[in-house]
Amino acid sequence: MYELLMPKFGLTMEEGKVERWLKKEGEEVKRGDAIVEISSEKITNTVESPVDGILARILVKEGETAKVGTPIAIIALSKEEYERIATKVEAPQITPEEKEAPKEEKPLEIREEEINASPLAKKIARERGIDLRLVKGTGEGGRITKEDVLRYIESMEKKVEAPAFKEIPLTTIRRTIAERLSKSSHTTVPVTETMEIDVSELMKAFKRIRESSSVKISLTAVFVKLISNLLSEFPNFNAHFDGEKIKVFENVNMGVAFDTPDGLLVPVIKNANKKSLEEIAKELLEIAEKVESRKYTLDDITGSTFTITNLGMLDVDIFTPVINPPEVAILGIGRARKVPEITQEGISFKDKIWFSLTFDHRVIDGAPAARFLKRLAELCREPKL
Amino acid sequence: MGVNLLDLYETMVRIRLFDTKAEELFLQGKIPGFIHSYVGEEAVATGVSANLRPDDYITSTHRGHGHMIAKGADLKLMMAELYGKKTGYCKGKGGSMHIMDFSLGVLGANGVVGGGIPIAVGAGMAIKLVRKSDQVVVCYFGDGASNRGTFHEGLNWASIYKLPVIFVCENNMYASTAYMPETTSVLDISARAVGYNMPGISVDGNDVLAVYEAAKEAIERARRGEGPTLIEAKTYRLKGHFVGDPELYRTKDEVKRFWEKEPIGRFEKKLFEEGILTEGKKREIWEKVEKEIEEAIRFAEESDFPPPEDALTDLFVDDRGYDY
Amino acid sequence: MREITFAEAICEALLEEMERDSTIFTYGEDIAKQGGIFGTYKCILGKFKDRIIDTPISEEVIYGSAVGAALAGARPVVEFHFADFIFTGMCSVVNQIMKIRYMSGGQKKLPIILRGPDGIARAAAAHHSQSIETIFMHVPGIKVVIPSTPYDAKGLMKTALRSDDPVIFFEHKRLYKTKGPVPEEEYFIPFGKADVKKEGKDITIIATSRMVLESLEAAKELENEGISAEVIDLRTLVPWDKETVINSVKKTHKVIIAHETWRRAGWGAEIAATIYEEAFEYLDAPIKRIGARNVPHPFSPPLEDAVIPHKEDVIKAAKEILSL
Repeated sequence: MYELLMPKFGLTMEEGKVERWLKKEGEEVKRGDAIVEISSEKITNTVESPVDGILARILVKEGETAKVGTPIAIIALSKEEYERIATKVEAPQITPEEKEAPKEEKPLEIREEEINASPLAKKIARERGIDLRLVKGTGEGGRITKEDVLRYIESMEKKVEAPAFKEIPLTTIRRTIAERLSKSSHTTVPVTETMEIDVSELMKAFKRIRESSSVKISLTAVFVKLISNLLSEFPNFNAHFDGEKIKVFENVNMGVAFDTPDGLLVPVIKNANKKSLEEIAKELLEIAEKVESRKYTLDDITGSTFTITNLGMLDVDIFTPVINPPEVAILGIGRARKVPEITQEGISFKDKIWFSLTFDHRVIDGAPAARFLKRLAELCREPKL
Repeated sequence: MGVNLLDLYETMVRIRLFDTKAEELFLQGKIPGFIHSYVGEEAVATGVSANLRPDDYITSTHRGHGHMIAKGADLKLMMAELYGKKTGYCKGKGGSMHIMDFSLGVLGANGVVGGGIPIAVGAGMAIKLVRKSDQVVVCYFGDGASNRGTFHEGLNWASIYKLPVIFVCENNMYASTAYMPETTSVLDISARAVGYNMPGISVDGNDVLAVYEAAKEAIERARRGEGPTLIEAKTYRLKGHFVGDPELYRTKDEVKRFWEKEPIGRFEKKLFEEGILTEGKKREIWEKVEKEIEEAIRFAEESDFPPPEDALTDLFVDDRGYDY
Repeated sequence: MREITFAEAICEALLEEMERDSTIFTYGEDIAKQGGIFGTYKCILGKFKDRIIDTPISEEVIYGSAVGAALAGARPVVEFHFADFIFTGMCSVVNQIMKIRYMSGGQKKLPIILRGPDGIARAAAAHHSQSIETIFMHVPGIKVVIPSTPYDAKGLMKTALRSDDPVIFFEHKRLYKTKGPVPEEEYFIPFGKADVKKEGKDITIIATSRMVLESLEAAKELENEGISAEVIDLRTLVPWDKETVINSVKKTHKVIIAHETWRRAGWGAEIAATIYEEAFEYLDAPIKRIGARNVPHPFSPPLEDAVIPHKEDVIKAAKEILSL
């Protein structure tokens, strides 16, 4: 006996509708014969019989729908079986009301011990995840043998050539990233606002300082300094939220997203609002080295109160950064580029950067976020580094 | 007479006390299985064994304590075997009915009536054909066994090869519950020797000296290579077939009458009359033997039972073949 | 290599060991005058005075005496004339030979060989045709040897003659005249070591004695049809070589067990049950057992053929398993 189940066409299909039965009850079916047409939301498909037998019972009539995985017909594998199943059908007169009621037991399901297969065949099937109901037995009395299972596996492998892939085990860091980000996505209500800001003055200041300073100063260091200053004016952005209480911090522990060979890491510049640009730059260099040599400690990567993430060097302009919980906002920094600006004086070129601010709308509204960006624009025009 | 009469007396007392004590311990539930008492038949084994050398063999029966003791068995090892202890003669694998001491020439008490007869014949074959010595085999069996095929096969066999086997039939009148005259074609079992062309003699089995004399003659003949003898020792089983036997097949009167003829009292009377035994000597012997038996009991009770894994040893020499 | 018959191989082993070991003596019915009804004593006739003996037809003593002889230091080799007649002395075999050592707590070695013909001859009918090896596999206490070739017969008999445990050695009547290579040099074949008589990969045939030869014939015919059968000769049933059997099952996944003794509760059932217990998930088909039909052996040749198994039965079983 074989139960024909409502097939699943595509990932999202949950139920299907029987459009048309192509075989009648009592009719012989051969493996591969088209037996029924099923439609889902988008497509209509023909289902082939996976076994030789007789269509013994149609369980879902034309026009009716059934959930994926529920039996829609029973195919008898032998004449005797057909007769047994056919008489079973005659017995209970199914009234429409009864039919509505969901059936709790599934007496027609085949258990493994009822399948006529050798112990070895069953063992191989179990190990390889093969449904023995789909395997045709050629042994004595139709018993499924080892050969039958191996032949079936071979045929299946030919039929379904899965795209080549290799499995990569999760590293600890990847797992942490996955957990944190999925937590963020499950708990925060993120909104991203973007603003293109003129950073010409900032860039000039940056070049000047870089040339005069003994320390190698990066643009990131400049932003850490600048945004730490900004956060002093917007303390509600320099905060943690655990769903019940908002913790607003006095000092800024600036998380800086780093792209490492192992994945995303967010080292923290502690008390960035109190540090000079040079101190910040130096610390960033040290951290970069630690990250490179995998010598960072847990202390180096925890305790941030706000995070910036810079994808500018990879030519990204605008993106939607994901908040690093329990923080309440994150600032994405895009690429710096020359943009022509037409004023009364004529056309001039300005350095501009898109900033993307993602904030948790549960605790920060859109307007304060906009004001945050607007104030950032002002600070860029008159940088105090 | 080349035998110490007090030794005969002491051996009989030892057998009597051992089996009396064994019966008591069995009734107290200390000894598992069955006990078949030799009480009343002590003169047979004692009289026969007095003629045996340590290197002679005997085969015994289910009622075998007396045969063992007369052959010189260690009471401690015997009692421990009765208790089913690891220190017993057979490490607890035989029990009362199957005590054996091959080093003492005791080729086994035997749970099968007449089962020892072929074994005795085989030992006789080995003596004659392989050992080529003047050892002898004494084969004890009862009146019941004289009706078994092994008796007839065995006597014929011993006779044709002139084997040094002395067949000692202890006719105690009962094969379990069966009265001997009702189940046996002859009244004197010794008469059956005629059919096997060997000497046959019936003696008073409750007279230790009569047994001694008959056995002496038979054993000497066997040592000379002149073949087997059948001795019927007429005696009486004073106790039931086994301890706990309801004894519905005989009257209490009958048993009482035979107690008056029991061998130890008879021999004791004779020894007193001849001045060989005194009251003091008697007390000394009984106390000595009682002490031996108390020690044996203590040894048995203080010994450990064999551990369960011992059940899977001793079948084969190489200890293979238990599972596959 | 020289070729000798199965009967000559048995005799040769006996001759060599009797020359070496003076404690070996052999007895039974009809052996000393003509060299045994199947010629297994021919080569020792006249060589060992008093160590090869014709006995009366007294089976209880023939077998039981072996116990006494062994305990008295001899190494008796007992011929059972026809396996069918073991039953006339079965008590001595099962209750004495197979138990005495164990019941004594392993006090002594018990080197006894029971050997002789079993199996069908031709129209010998039910009292001279039986294969009864299973009984001795069922009751613990004796090693069971059942060879199929002159080479195995000699090597196993040599081992048996030096074994310190009781051995029962079955020689199939139809094999006595079969010839095979047997080296002049001395060799021994251990008990419990099966011989893969033919290697194969599709199906395992487990057999003993005459059915090994039938199975090899069957394997040859199956080979012509592209089926590669492995034939395992167990050679000894106690102990039997579980390891070789299980390894073969793991290779072929299909099993036939073929013996001439009755199919019902024949030893094949024991082997099959063990395979089911220990290699169930390696089986690709139910095990098939081949044995005699469950009736006594009839006299008339066509009836006899209908009862006992042949190579055709093996071929048929193999094809059924492989569904050809």
